[in-house]
Amino acid sequence: MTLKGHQDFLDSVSKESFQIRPRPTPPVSPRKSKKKSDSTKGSENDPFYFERIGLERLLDGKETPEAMQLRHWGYERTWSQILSSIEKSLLVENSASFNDIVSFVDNSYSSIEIETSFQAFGLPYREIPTALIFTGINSPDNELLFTRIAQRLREAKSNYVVMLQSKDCGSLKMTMKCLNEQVLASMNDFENQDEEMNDADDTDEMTFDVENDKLADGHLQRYDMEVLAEWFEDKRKPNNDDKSLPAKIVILIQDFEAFEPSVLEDFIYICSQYQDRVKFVLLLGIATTINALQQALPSSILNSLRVKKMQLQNSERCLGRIVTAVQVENHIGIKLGKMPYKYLHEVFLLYNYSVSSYMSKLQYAVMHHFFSNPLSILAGIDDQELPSRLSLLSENHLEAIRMQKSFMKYVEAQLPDSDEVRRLLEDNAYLESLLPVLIKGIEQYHKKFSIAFECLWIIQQSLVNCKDPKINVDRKAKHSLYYLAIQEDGGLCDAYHTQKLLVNLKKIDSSCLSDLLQKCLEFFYANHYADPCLAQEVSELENFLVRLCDIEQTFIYENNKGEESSSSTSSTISSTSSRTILSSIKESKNVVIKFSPLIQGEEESTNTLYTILLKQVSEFFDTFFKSNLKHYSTVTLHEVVYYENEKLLKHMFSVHPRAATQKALGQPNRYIKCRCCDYANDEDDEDEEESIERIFPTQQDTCILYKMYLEFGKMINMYDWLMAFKSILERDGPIDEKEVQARFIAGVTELQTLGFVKPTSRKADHFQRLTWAR
Amino acid sequence: MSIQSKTIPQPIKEIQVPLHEVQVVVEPVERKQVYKHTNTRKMRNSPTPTIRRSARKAQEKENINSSSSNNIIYSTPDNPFDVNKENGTDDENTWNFRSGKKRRVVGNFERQLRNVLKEATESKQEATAYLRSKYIKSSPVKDSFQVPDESNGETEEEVDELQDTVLGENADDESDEKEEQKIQVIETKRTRRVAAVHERDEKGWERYFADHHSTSSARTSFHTLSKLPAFEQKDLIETINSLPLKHQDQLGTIAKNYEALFSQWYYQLRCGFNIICYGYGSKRGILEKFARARDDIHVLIINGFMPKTTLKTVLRDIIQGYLNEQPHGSMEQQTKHIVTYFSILNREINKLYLVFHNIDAVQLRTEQTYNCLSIIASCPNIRLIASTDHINIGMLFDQVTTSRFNWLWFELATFQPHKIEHSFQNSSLMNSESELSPQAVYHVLSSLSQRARGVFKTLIEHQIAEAEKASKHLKPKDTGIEYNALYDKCRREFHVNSDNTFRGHLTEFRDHRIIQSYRSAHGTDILYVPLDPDRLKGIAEKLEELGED
Repeated sequence: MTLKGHQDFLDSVSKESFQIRPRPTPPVSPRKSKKKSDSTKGSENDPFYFERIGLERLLDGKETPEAMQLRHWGYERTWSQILSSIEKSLLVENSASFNDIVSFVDNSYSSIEIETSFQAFGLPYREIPTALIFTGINSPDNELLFTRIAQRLREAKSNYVVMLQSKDCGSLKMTMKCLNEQVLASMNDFENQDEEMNDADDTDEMTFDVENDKLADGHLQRYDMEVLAEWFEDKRKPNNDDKSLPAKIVILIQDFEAFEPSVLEDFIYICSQYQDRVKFVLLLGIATTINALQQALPSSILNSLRVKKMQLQNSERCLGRIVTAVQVENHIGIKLGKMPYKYLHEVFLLYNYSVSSYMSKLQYAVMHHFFSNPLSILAGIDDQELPSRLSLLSENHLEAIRMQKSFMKYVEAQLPDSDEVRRLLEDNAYLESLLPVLIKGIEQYHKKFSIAFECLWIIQQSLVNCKDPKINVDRKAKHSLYYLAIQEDGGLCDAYHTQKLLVNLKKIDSSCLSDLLQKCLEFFYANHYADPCLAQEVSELENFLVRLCDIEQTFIYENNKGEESSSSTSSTISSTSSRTILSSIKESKNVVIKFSPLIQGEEESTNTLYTILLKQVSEFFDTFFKSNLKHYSTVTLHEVVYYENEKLLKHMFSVHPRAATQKALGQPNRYIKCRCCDYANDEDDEDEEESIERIFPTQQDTCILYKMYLEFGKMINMYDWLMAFKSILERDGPIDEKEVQARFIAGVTELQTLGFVKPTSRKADHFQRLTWAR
Repeated sequence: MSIQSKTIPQPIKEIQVPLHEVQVVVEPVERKQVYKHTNTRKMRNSPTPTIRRSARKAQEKENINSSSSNNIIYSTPDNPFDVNKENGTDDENTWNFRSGKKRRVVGNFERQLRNVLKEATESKQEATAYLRSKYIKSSPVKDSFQVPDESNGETEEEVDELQDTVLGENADDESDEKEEQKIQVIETKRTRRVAAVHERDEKGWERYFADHHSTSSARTSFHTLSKLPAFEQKDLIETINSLPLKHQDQLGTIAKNYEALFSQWYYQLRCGFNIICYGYGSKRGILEKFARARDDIHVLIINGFMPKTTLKTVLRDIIQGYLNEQPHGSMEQQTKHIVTYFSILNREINKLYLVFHNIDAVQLRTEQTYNCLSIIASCPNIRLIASTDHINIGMLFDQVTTSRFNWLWFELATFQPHKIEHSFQNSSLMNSESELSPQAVYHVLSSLSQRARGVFKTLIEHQIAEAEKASKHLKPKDTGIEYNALYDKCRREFHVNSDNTFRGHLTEFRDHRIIQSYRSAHGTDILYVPLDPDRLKGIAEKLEELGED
């Protein structure tokens, strides 16, 4: 029942789909397509290009095309940087478990060799080595990791790697087909690599005829395991002297829970039956717990698996990695501001544990930052680019900078110097000359912040690790620690957690302290030794370490007088250059003495010295954190780098379609701001909530029906509903019966498609109510 | 109904009355009697707070046996100790337990009542005026449920009553302060009432339980739509289309605001997100505009609201339209094929934008559909912008498909009527009987043989005769004829010569759905044409004409 020939093109619908092809403009389109694939090179000549791809001209439409271009590139570059750094850190996070898996696959049959001797006695003993990889509940996240695992295993060249996914394996037939195809395909790859393979002819016989499911040589179906086994045996004939050929077939099953248990059951059974001919290794990705396996498969099948459990990534640690990569270590790129970070953090921890959804929100934040903030052209650039960017700034940009809150604060701070203030506000050239300093200031802040943050992390870890009953600190994950840093307005330095750490620092014993100081120093050396701004801190830490050694030495000296030439060691330490301190201390570490901070005053002098040292260390860190762990909002022009639009993120990702629809139907006036249905017109003192309940005949029909609907019970009599509807409409004057009916039917049909009611056969001409909450 | 001289509990009692009354208005007429009784007797009764409970109990029972309602209310012993009990912890329990029930009783009215209490109106006159204006003005919902011929007088009465109650309570509050116990009772009542109001606003689920697990709420009247004049689908669509759009100007502004988002949408699509639009109103117009706003991209508009649109047609259209191939293989294979095409380097079409109207359409709601669509949507060179209407859209996507779709959600409350979308649906209000249009029947018959027409004519003539015989309105279903009876008739009129040919004709009719059948209580098949006698007459006339040709 299609409607044809109605008002305009919108109303004529006759096909399921409709194509709109681009208008042919020959010279432009090929260039453009090239551009899209490779947009970092060259610039688009078309001045409206960036508007065409959807960017808007900001600054009241006065933005230059160059600036728009920079924003677009800024987004693409920043996001690809973030993406690659996240991917890298996730792989690092999982590298240990990857190695485990690879070594498991490598050794899977070496240990079984003994068992195969049992088979000589005719024991029905065919176990498939199986690794259960516990992946965490977020199966979409795991796709990348499993591809990486497959890559690693393929690199080893001793395996054929087959990835089976539930979407391709609806039945046993399809599963086997998948397996055979992938193995034979990878075999072809091997052949292409080694040109001198002799038996290429043999394999040709085995290739498939794609059209029907039979092999070219006839009698076997392409999903028969026999094909695989024959081929495999053929490859491994004793006369085949090519040792480089893979020996095992590794089957990766990524989403175990999504498989039909009966399919897997049969599949595993077949594999185990062929196991004396083909060497299979199973890798099962399990998202939940081992119970899933035990419930899905019968014990007879489970018995044929030789199981080893392995743990893949913990998604919370992945989040920690991501936060470190994006928020802490990245000094120049875009970061999430206070509220957006909180939102993402909470959605992750409280709702889905999904790294991929976290990333997509992050991507949106980055994209929108570049999309909406004209100053974003100053973000994510290094020193070389800065001058060229600054030259691009127009007067409007400078005005925008002056509008930023943090800049206003900066100006206020300059208040005593009225000349300075005037120049800041009025002299464009002056402001421009100042900008490099400000932009650099942001970068500096981040550098220092990241060091201090890592330092704090090290302190926390060592305090947690030293397992002293006196020490009472919470272990906070990195993302939670950063959460504190960004959430507390005073910055992390004033956070309760930090203060508690510093208090507890005063209680640790000497071995812990030296451990901690060494770790801190190592960190400083590794990352930022060259940085002159930290030279003082480094020397101070070294100083602490030396003093600690001194105290230890004195203690030894006093305890066993005349025994060792302790003074010589201490002098050597103090004389050596700072780089060697660490190593020398490590050497002298065999001396096992422990100091504890002094509680009772009557101890020996060394202990007192130690207590003083502890106090100083704690004070040092306190001042260090105070100066470097400030909240980001204290930094001038932080708006360039920090994304703050939390509401938009919520609108985009945490939606309530039902609530929105209910609101639209229940309070249409909030959307349609018309005078005719406005309660405020009639009565001023009426409170809003109450008047929402009122029904106006001028409202949309569906809204009227919906409001009545709210008063019904679980069953709705259509006739009564219609009559009620009619009585409302008639308030505005008499109305044609047919029209009422038509409007009623249209309205109810709408409510039905929206999912509020459904027809029921329980009683004649009744609808069932489906929603209750408001 | 004066109150000043009464003892405390009476107002409490009285408060209940309007509440019941609210229910009375909502519920069918017979409840009125209860109201009257309570109304007249409440003066001399010395009720306690248990009244509320007992009255409620009474109502519950009354639903089972309405005749005894009167007795039950007053046969409940008025136990003075109940007052104490009610103040204790026991009270809270019963309260919470009952709140589901209460929820239904509390209406608009209660809230207004509370308002009045809150504002503590000083003079009776003011209060009366206030209440009167309020009640009469702002209770359209209730109005609508009243039986049309109900007089306004009752409403007035209620207002009086209510206002009495209110003032009464206030007065008593002041005058009888010493009777602490009783005042406590009032306090409890009041807090309860406040709590009840909160419940009403916050806990829709309370309402759910009230509606599902109490016997009283399931009552609806026995009216049916057959009282109305019949309406044809075509007529309906025409009438709907001819209706003026409400708030056209404002809706235009809304649409314009949304159109301002186009460039943003486009940028977001380019950046790898897919867009889904939700919210009340037809989003078709806006999405069509978006699809046609640019002339340099490939767009495929998919009309999900058409019942014939399925995953198969979507894949077919993409493969035929853009890959220039013929689709073959399973849905998953086709999907894979599309994705591979859009990831190879030298392809003809760089990016494809899919505009998908109503991705939540009924016929699309399968796991396979969303699985395949999500795989297509996750391809970086295919972008998807979809619209959805259903309020529970979230349930359609699982974790895996959600992450593949990578949706951005936009609220697009256009308030536009779903004219086009719904023109494809046969409204279930026009239930199966009126689905058949006489034109359709006529159309089918004109292509059949003379004899087949004869059989059909015999059938409808029987139906017309049956309907005329009957004193009351019969449904088409009830005018049907038994299989054997019809066969005999047709044979007598030489329309058929054997059971086989007869059967053949019937099959033909059934295939075109112009007749329907059901198994009667005696186990025989009853055949009928699902149309009312008037239309059947029209068809019979046309058949005559056909016969003459």
